[in-house]
Amino acid sequence: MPAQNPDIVALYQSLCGQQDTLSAAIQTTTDPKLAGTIATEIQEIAHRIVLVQNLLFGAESPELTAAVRGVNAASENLTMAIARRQQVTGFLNSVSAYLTCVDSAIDLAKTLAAAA
Amino acid sequence: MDQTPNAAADARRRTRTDHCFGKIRLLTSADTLPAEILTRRGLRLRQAALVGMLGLGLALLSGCKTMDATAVANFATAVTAVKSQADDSLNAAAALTRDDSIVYAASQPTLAETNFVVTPTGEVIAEWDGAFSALESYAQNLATLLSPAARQDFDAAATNLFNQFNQAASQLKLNGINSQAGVSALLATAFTETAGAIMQAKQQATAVKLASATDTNIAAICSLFANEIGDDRRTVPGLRRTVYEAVWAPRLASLTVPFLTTNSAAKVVICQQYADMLARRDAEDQILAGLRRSILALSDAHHALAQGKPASIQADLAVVSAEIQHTQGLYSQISNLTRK
Repeated sequence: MPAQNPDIVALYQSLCGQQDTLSAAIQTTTDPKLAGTIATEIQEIAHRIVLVQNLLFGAESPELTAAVRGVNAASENLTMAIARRQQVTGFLNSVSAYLTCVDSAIDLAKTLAAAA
Repeated sequence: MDQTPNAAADARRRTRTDHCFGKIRLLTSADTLPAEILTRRGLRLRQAALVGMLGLGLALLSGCKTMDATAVANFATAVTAVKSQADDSLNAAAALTRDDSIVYAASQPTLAETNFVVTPTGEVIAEWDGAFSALESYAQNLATLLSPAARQDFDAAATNLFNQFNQAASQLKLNGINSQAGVSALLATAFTETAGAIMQAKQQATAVKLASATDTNIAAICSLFANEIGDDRRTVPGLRRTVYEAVWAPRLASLTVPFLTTNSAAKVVICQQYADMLARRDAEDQILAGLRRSILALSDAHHALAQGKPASIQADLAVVSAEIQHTQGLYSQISNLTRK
């Protein structure tokens, strides 16, 4: 029996990995303003995890594979930005770039699912 | 193996089976369910009744001379019980994500429908319900096929089962068109294959052989359900991890700012909220984990049925019964936590 779409799984794992990293980061934060920023991004990622959960068994395509490759690159930048989260602007820019890539991949996966 | 030596013994067996499981049919009939059954409390009551009946059936199985018939009847009861467990568990998960989507939507600059996302979706819950209904009907038909009197009607009964599985497959394909989940198509394939296996086994005309023919596909269907749930909450994609990451991570994180900006006395209150949230997170996860274990135990029980191993069936169905009872305890725990 066919299994979950590996590209969607990779996207899902990326989101969950970043969620774990942000959850760990907020627990070591003493600055309320930074904590608020991180909590907001945790909520943004949570929203996308639910979206991706609903697409886990969706159709495969080379375009989706490329889109997820872009997510992975952005994810690496975000991981570094979380480590340097005291530089709030850089952190926010990295989150924004990451979520933009994620949203493109989700939109593509939705389109493929609708066309299947 | 699935036929008794004489008709009188068979008649006694059928009478006892009807007596034992008649109440379950009443409890699961949509026509007779009161409105409150749709609430979580009502569903728990229904589960409790099913667990009780399953326990009674298992007790009968221990000293039963017509073991196969009782085992099959118990399997049918267990399918009904797990169907109810699945309905409760999936709706509970959907309610959690729905609540969080409202919080998320309220944090956005515009009021947009796309901000309200839920998992599992209504389509997925309907898929599960339809699939379990087909399995329930299959299990009940298997029980009736055990009678020697049913031998002459076996062809018609098997054809009926074939039609039911094909109908379930058609409905799943229809859902697949409306759903982005993609699970429908996979389930539909498994149901179509099961229908085919039933028709091929029809010539052999015994319930055990029928179960043997469908066993691979029943296992595949159960496996698909189990994969949707996921076998842990930290590494494997699935509903358990989604609820962990998308519901509990933001809820816990939301307490950080209040904690950092308040006095010591208020911090104690926040820490109590945090601890309660952790307990509820674990309980909600165990509800999904219990459903997964029930489904896999059902799959094992069916395999034992197909292999003609009644002792194994008893052990597998005892797992189902224990999981459902444990789930009821978790619902009580959650209810206490949310009342605080």
